[in-house]
Amino acid sequence: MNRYSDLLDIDTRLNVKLELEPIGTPDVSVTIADYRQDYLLSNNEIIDYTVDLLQPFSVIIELRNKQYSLDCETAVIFRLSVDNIDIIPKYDYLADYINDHDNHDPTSYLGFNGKWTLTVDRAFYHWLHLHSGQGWLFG
Amino acid sequence: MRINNSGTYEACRWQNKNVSTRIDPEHNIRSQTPLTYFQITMSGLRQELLDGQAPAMCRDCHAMEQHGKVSGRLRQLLKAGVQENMFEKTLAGSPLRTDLDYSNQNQGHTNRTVLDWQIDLGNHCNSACVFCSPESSSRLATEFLQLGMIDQVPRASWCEDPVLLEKFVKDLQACDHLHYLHFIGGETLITPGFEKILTALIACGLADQITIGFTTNLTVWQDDIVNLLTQFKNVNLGVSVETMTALNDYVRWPSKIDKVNDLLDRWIKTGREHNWLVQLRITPTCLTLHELHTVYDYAWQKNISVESCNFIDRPEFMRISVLPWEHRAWARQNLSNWIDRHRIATTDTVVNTRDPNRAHDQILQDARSYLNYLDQAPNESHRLPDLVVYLKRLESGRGNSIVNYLPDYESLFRSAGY
Repeated sequence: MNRYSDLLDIDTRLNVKLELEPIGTPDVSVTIADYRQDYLLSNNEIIDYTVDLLQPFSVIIELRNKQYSLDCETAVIFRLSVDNIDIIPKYDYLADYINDHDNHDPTSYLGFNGKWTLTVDRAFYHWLHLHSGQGWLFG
Repeated sequence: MRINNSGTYEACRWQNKNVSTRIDPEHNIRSQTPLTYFQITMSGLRQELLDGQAPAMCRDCHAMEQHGKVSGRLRQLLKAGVQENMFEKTLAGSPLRTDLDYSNQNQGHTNRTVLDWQIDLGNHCNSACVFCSPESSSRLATEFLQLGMIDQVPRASWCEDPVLLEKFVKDLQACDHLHYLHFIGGETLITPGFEKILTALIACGLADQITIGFTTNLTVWQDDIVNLLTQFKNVNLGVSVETMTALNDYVRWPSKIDKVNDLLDRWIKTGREHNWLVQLRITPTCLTLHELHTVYDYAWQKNISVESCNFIDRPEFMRISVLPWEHRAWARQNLSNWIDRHRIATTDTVVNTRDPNRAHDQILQDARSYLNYLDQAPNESHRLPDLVVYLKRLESGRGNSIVNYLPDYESLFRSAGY
């Protein structure tokens, strides 16, 4: 078994992986912590980013400039994982989705112009403990 | 932290009893405050763990984990936010990280106070379960004395001394952020110390921050205690049953399964009314393992979890491994068939066995651990004659017979001297 100090001699970053799958050619803006990038998606896109183990962070996906048409759907489907732990769609009900159709149903399919935000408001593993039914957390 | 029947402090409620000093005058409520024990006496143990050692007292938990059973060690780690399958990162991010760092830099010392207690209230009990001991059942102690199996009954519990009880309640009040008190009997509901401590905690205004845990033997009901419990933040209620059949009457003597069932329904109903967590508590032995699936079945239908603390170690002749291979195969088949009929997609280990949303996963996990144990535990059928001698002595006073409850085991018991 390892000493306490040896156990803490680790990479203290989290690997955030966001996989985007376009339908049509969506105009999307992605923010992960302090990373921000605009995409005009025509192919699947995978974004890998690292964030601090102990810092709160948000993931924001915004769909913009969609022209609503019966003939042609424009949307983006996405999956989010942190350190290879599936977060979205599993915990999609924890996100805020504000859009021009006032549709706030939990989703990982963004088909309306608007902003989808997942806020990890404390150290990620505390957040995960609370939302994955792990019970009491003494602090 | 734990205070045992003698008033001796112990670091952990799951620590191996062979290592535990049951009566320790130096580390006892009569001679030391729990705060001193927790902050200073436990420094050595804390440092041992921080140094990466595996103390002998942790042996039972490591044994449970070998058979896929969720140990107390893993459950306590989880309360600190540490999960074994992502140990380093969850440790680094633990809400107790600052305290752990402090202990690591100060030879295991801590400035924290106890959050989580196990309080042993003595052996006051109206039941005499066959696998129990005089230290946990006053009725069994009296029976043992009459049968010449012990020379004297165990000493009175620390909590029968009103001065010590008052001192202990004051010690509890001195704990910052006191969170959980788990009471052990005897039968807690009829133990005067239980009611006294609950009443005192309500009187000093601590009830709304504390969750109370206890286990009842499903033979008694106390309205006054239920009324006290409703004033606490929450209640984790364990209800003891071994099988949902008449065999339970023999093992948890002198209970009667009809009354057990009535009280079980009443506790579950009361628990749901007050949003308490209700769990079935089992102590599987070589006598009950082949009917264990009846408890899982009941729990599955009610969607409540089943918890057993560890694989029974004492008395040695009650161990599951006392069953010879052919009888193990029978128990295994019953369990295996039940598991096959209740398969669900389970991907991860349920460490928080108190998550009501994972009751079905938890039941299956527990059942699988016994299947694993049946497959892997060494054959200890040489202990069968000891079992038979013991049961015959008990039956001489009780007027019952194991073969009436376990007719399929009759030839086995006869071959061992029954």
